[in-house]
Amino acid sequence: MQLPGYYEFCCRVKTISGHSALERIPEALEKLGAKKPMIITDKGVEGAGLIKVLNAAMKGSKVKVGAVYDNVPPDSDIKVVHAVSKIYCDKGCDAIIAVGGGSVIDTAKGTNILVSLGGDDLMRYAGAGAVKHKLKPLIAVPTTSGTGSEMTLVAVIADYERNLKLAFVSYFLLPDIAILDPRMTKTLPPAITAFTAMDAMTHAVEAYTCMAKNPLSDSAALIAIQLISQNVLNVIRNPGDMEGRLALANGSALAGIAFSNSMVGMVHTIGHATGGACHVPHGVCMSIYLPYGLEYNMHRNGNLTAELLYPLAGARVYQATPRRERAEKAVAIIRQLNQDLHDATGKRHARCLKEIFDRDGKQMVAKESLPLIAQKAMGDASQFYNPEDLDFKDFMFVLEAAYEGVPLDRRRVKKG
Amino acid sequence: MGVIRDLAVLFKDRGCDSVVALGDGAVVDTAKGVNMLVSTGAENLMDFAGENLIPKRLKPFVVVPGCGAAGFEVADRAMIEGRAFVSGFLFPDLVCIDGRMVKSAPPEDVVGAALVALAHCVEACAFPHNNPMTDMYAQAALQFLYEHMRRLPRTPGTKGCVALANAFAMAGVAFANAPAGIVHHLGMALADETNIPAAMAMGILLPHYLDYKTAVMKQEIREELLLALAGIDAYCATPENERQARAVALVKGLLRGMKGLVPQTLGELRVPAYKLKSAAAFASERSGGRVDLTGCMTILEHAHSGAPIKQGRDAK
Amino acid sequence: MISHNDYPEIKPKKKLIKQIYVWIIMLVFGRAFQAASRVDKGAKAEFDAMPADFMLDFYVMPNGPHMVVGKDDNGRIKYYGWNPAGKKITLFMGIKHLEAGIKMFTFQESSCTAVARDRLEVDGDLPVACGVLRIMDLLEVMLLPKIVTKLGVKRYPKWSQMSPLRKWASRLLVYVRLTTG
Repeated sequence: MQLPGYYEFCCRVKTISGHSALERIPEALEKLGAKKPMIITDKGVEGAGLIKVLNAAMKGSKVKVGAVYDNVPPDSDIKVVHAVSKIYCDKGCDAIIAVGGGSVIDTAKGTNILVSLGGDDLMRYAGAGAVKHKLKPLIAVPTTSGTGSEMTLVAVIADYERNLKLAFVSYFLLPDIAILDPRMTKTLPPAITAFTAMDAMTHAVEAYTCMAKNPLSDSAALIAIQLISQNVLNVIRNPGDMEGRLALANGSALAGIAFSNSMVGMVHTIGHATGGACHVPHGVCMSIYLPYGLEYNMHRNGNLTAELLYPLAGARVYQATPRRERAEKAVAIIRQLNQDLHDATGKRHARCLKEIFDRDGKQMVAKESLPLIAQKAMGDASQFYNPEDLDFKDFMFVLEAAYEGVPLDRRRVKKG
Repeated sequence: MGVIRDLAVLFKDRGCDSVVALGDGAVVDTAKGVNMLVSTGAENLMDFAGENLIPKRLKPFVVVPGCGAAGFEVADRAMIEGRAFVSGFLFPDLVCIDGRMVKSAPPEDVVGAALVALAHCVEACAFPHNNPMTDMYAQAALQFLYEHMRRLPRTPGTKGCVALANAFAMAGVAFANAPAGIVHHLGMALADETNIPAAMAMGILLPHYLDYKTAVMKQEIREELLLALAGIDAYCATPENERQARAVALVKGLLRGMKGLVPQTLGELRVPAYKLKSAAAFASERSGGRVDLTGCMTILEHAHSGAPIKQGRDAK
Repeated sequence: MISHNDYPEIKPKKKLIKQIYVWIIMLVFGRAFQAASRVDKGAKAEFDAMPADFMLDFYVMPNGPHMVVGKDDNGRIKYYGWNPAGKKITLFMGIKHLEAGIKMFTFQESSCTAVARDRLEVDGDLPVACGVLRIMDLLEVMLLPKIVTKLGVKRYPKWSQMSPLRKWASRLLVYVRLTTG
């Protein structure tokens, strides 16, 4: 294992994982010195009855929930953060329990910044390292497996009025506690299970293959990839498989640790841009672009992609594949996984850009939007961690292939 | 204790607000002691001896280890005047590993820490009571430990020392987050009873415990141990039914390779046989009965004489 | 009982030569930003994409030196010197300590490596910060011999991506403007 010349690793999040993890929340709050938490969640989670499960788990303890906000939109919004912060202060809360996916947890992180550091404009704290003080207690209970946001130092919150996506990066944004309880993902529909699992997979794969990798993030990534590849299809076919759900939750958390500490590369660069331009869910973008990212970078980090064949496909396949074919085989396995997920979810899991449809059956990514996506991608910082450079033409090259769903023609990649 | 009290007074006089510990073992323990006093304002440090008796967050605490780490610097504990202090608040906020502080060190300084780290990591991730989070730390540490311990007794250069320092820090975290194993308890018990270094004891005991687990308790050692020690290529190339044995063989090979530096039996360390029983009893109790008194005695006796625990470990 | 006099306060030393070196390089970069924005179409395109209130304070923490570059009222890029006082800064990019600055400005670490090794703190809009880092890479390609730049940037542009004519013309013009202001 290579030791980089320099690296930083920080995972201060205490993880409580298991079949009765939620029941530990009151004790956790007490250790953090909090008694009156605010619950932040969204309508989907509330509708699935998960807040009832949480409340039941906290029954009989000294915890009094100060407020519940259940209207977080699918993309975190600065206006919502301002509104939620006001409620937190008005009700005199002293901690936050975030129950939901990436958007809920990001909203909670943004709220925590405002209520801990004061002021009424979150924008003041945007940037990398702009939040410089410890925040109030935050417990993250993810309900997807997932964005890994319960383990990351990043929050992305959109300001729709100014048409900006604000990024907040600071170790102080890390939640104090992450609760991984399979009851929280038990009723996740198959299509969402599929693309959130691929989101986690992408985090782990990019963390392993991009420039800021370090031994601990590598270790986390390998375990994460294995947990996800071994469990995702089973869980989609048997949604009540609690062991499988727990395994995916852990895989997603480890993937979050991995990428929080070694960042991500071009798959996220293009994925963020696609989400920003066409409002495609993040995980859907990740599943489609992941094989392309690996193909584009293969001349730089093919040796690392080759190693990933082991956690993706197991020791037998790894051993049976000749060394110089392993990287391509790993990419093929990922494409096959997308295909299997496509079949297992009744064709809802998209394999290429033109297959992404919204709830009304409308195609979400038009061919005409590709230049806009490429333009947005130029402004995303994650490209700095990608092993190879990308300019506008390179982004278009990848996007066009991803639109049709054809493998990248690696001979056309401009090598540095 | 006197030193800790004095340093606490100095801290307050100078208006300090944080502690940076430069060094290993006793330095870090002392620094943790000072931090406990100045953060809580308590009069008597011994009030906090034991488990989870520290009432609140301590002041910012940074550890800059040297190369002879004892393995507990990064963990949630301190040993002061023979008493153990255990609390989540004792974890350092930052561990800063810099090649300038961890320059090339003689193998004698490094080997003790390496043995402790090895034992802790194997106990954290090799058995089915593992969890993925501690695996992350333990497996990363084992890779570096195996790579660099193999080169002992040659002097590790600066790069080797930095890698080992990384491994020790990771092993400390893994240890703090996993239930302490039998090798740890037996090693500490022997050190208490006989004044031999705990590190040496743990190194000698480890292979015998692995044998005991497979041959007598008939319990599995996870294949991931081989993955961590030997890497993906070697792991995948080893047939499934041989991986456990190969992992144990690698651990034994590591320890045999350090023959000049590490005694190979407890007998070599002149541990009197009559002390074994009390150490066994102590360890068995501390481990919550996971290994009973007879088992602990078996491990100790074989570690004393060097005879391997009965054959048949491959018959599973 | 320990004597407090045995433990004098440790005062960190100043690293005068390194500070002066970094100060000079940042002065050159600041003027190069201004020059390149007038002379090179790639740099101009990046700057045009930046907001009208773009005012960057690029500095070494904790005490400088600083480099202040921003758009003036006509939208042109201007180097505003080394004192951020009195300017409305919209983007702070801090190099975390002098040694990291030395590594960047002796080109041991490219801007990408610096980002990967967490050497920078950014207070402000991250996409604009990306643009700044891309321009710095571009300046390295323009101003320094290939043998130095190749170590630094990720992908040294081939002839098809940046014609030698553009590279040499820009190089000459930027150097001229650097010295004449």
